[in-house]
Amino acid sequence: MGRAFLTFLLGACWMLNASAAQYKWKEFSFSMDVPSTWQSANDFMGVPVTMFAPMKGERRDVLQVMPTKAKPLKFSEDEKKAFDKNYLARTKKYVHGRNGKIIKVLPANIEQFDGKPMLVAGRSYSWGLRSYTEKTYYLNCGETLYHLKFQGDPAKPESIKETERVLRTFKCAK
Amino acid sequence: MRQVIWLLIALTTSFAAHANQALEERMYFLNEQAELFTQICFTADGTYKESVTHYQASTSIRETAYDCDAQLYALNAELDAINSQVVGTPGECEFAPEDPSVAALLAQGGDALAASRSCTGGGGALNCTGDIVRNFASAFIPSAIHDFGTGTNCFTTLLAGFAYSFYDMACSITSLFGYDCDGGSGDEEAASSDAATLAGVQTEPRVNSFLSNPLGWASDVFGGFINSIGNSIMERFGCADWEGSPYVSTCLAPMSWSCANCSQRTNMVCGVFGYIAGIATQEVLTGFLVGAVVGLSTRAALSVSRNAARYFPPSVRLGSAAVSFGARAAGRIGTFWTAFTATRPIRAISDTASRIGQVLAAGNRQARRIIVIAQGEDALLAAIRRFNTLSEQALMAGFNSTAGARLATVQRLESEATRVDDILDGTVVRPDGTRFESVEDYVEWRLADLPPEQRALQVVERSAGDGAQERITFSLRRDVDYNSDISLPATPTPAVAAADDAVEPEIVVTGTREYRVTRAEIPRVTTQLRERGIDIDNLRLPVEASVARRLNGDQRTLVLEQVLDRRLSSSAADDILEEVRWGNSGRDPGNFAGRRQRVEAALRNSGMTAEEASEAANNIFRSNLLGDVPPGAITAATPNGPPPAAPGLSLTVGGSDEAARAARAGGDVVPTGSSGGTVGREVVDQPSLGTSPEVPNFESINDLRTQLDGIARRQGSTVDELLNEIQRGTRSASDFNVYDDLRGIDSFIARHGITGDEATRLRATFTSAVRQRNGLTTRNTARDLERQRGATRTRAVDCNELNRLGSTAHAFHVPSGCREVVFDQAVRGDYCSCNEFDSTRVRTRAIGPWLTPCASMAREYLSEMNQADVTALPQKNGLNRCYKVDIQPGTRCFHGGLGPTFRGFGGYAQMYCGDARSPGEFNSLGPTISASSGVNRIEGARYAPLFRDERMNVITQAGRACLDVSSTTTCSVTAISDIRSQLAALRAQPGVSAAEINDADIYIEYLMGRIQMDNFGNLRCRGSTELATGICP
Repeated sequence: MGRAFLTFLLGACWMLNASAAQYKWKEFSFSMDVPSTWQSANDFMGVPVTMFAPMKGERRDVLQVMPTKAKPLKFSEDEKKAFDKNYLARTKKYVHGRNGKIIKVLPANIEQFDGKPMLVAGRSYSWGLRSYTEKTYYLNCGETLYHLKFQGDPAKPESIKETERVLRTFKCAK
Repeated sequence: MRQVIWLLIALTTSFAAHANQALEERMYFLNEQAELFTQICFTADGTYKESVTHYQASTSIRETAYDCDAQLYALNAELDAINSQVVGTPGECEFAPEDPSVAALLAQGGDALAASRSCTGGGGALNCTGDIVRNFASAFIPSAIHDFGTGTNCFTTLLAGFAYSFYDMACSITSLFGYDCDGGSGDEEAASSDAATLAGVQTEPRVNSFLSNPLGWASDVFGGFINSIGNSIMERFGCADWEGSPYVSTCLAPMSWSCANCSQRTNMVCGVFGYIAGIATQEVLTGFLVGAVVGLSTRAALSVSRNAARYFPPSVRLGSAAVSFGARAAGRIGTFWTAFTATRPIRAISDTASRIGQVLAAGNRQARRIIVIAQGEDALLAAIRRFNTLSEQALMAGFNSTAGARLATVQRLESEATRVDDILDGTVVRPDGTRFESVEDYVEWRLADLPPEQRALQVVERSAGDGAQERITFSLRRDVDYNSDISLPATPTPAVAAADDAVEPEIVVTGTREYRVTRAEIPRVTTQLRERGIDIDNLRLPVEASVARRLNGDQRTLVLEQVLDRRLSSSAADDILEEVRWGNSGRDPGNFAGRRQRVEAALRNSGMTAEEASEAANNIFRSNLLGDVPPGAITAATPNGPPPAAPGLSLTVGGSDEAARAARAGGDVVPTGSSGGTVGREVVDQPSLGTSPEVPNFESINDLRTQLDGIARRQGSTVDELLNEIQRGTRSASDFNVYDDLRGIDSFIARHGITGDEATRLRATFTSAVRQRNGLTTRNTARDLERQRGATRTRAVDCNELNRLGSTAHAFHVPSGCREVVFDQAVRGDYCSCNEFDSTRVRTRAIGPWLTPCASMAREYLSEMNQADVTALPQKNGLNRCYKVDIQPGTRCFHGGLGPTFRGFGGYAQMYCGDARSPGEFNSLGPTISASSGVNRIEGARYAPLFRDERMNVITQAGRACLDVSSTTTCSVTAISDIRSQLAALRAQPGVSAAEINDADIYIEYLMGRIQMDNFGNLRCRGSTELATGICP
């Protein structure tokens, strides 16, 4: 009886975890709960892992997971301050360099994710008639700094919400 | 680099095949640009302005940059290139010498194209595509080739580089967080965003393609792009041998893509990309990305073939002369070219280029470079903008003649101007490393060391931004009289030379078209105005007449600028202010016609189109800034007089003799100094619609509008809303289409609590306005019925009964009476169903059952906007499409009081043709174009645009005549070519709206039967389901 219950419990745990697929890129691996309607590719345009949400009209939301070679962050106030300054400057350069318009730049916020600190920032910008919303995440995973990011269409907030939900199922291999 | 990546991203969704580029198209661009060039770079007496660079920093360097010398060379080179194709056999494949190599090109220096995007390499002709890609990528994607070596199959290598090496995990991420980073200056946020954007447009099959064969995928993307432009743009971008500096001197040996060796091809690719990356990114990329533009090449093919097609009918306008060719296509190009090369612009270009070329060879031209900063929009800038647009179009079509020169000019000017962003984000700092707190801080620093006399000459402009790239420009000012002409001494004047030496040796900057109120003076004048009770930032119009009379020139100018929403140059402001003294001479309409004409002319000279100038003149007169205005005059006939006919063509323009007389009289009237009385014109209306463009006078109606305007301002409402309320009552909160019954002026006065003198005055004006309107309406009605006598049987019916039917309530005008009219005979072409097209070219109302006598011009139909009639409501912007229709025998119509009505468009008689069976059915009944047969079908609906620009109406008139002579919907070939010539002449006139030209194109297509009207009145190219938007393919 006890053994059967234990088996059930294990089974249930496995079931709960069933859709959290494992991803591997070079020596890095992580898991993420990605719906089956999504696609994913390694090394697309040099980005380690790209997840493609289903097409909505002419566009689809995109989620990127990028283990980096950079040192882990301390999530200190100085880092946050530096990030805010540089992120804003680079966003200006990036968007204005394409003759786009910045709609909003969200300053960095350090929040707890899976019991550990994570820096979250974001930006919205547009070119012509097309707009983009991005959120960018930095978190440590052991000795690796992970950069996660999604880009979506601000006109489709539901879709963005779903993409962000998926992103937050990220778990790195310890 | 990233911009190029973006181009690739953009192109992943669209690879349209490039249309073959025809010589005709190339000639078209040269013809158009040559004419503009002579306008821009030559004085009226035919003198070349010498080394002048124009631009207007305060709006857009990119749009307004124009270097006469550079364009002279470019046009001359293009002339030679075309000539070699037309006259001789191009010896394209005869040269095979290696290079001039990229390095050699670069070494010549000074060229923005080459300098900004240095292509490296060169090499043999083996695997040329691979070489190009490698060279290209090593210039634009530096990381692309590092990891993959340089094997023989470099194409594969490059594709891999492209597919995989976009985002690099180098240490530059850590620099985001303030850590030092060796060797990493990239921006991973930008790289990943670019990658995400590219990912975001990949369909599922495309992602699968990437997964299964990344190289194949990249090959599609990259190679598809290269191939899509290879044979067209690049072909024209190449030159094997330049006479002087590459891209700006004459190309001695134009080459073709097919004959070019590898390094030459590389140059071509780099040139194209340099251009695209340098200038065209926003337009091209966003165009692709948002799907607004189908594709680079498609776009080019569309606009070019459309434009070029116009150039090779049997007759064509060349320079300022109209030239006829034989009808046969064969030989036409040669004939064209011979005639073309003899035109003034072309001779001016080749003669001047040859003369200047010698001076340049002597090496002494740089010192005389002059930058003209145009202040305010004027005809010169309009020409420059058009020239630059043509450059872009030509490049897209594959002719680089002037685009490269333009890019070089833009880049040179931009490199001399500091970006505001760079100042604010600390990219630009003081020599000691400290940052600038603000733009003003930076300007102060830049000017700090200048001696006062130099400082006084400085013009500092903050550009409105090209995209988001606001810049600060500094220039030295020398005031010269420059009313679209510039005449410069052969050598700089000593004063200028001194200024030159002290600051920027090679540049003399010429201030031109100085604003009447300079930027520095605005605060002072604003304060003065405030003391007089005028808050310029929150301007209430009209300005109180007693206040307006006391304004001085600067104050008046500032208010004028606010009314016009544009800065005014001294000359434009002075021209307008000149009219103030005429305003004091009272309210004589004859005098007014002349005043108005002069104001419009001044506004047109400042760069407005005729249409804008007319509207702006209205606004100015309404504002009280120019003194008294005869009652009702503002919105009466536009006394433009007949437009000048294009040289070489005899245009039959239906100008109003009466208006022209008035205009002439206006110029001659000597102000008498007082005339408080109302000397209105006699009310004129249409004895025979369709032939006379005279427009009735609505003076009382306009007085009413003026009074209502005061009330509207107090209540935060609009005159139109108040008029609507008087006529219809107020809308029900629950149903937008339902009104309460509290109509009429008394209800209105009571509801708005208007009392005392104001109420009395309002009631009197309203009564007078209604009387005036009724008089017009009654007369219109009688005349229209008279016209149809013999064809119809009429009997009086109760208008009130008609008005109770359906949502057309109040359509029929009770005071003038209503009649049932039964047509015993067919009446062809007397009545029109008129409409306003929206921007999508979908008609906004069915053809039928409301008909109105056909007018020949848009302005004969008075809409709410231009008539200000108390009752003309729904057509705010005026009609622009009419369908001439036939009324079948047996059709029963209701001649509905025939005045301005709620449901109608105002101004003329209207009638409803259909059965008045029951309320609610009223609207849906009656003949329409879509009905299958019988009296319920409107037959013979023929389309005719109504132009607002009177000059354009010659087109419709010709078209109407053409349609009238035969019962078919096509014109004779002769008639079409006549109309086309007329359009070609109009096209060249300043201020003719592009939209109306486009409408005329559509109309001509329609006359030719290439565009057809469906049963709903929509226009489609024959055999196509798409709405026609221009010339059919």
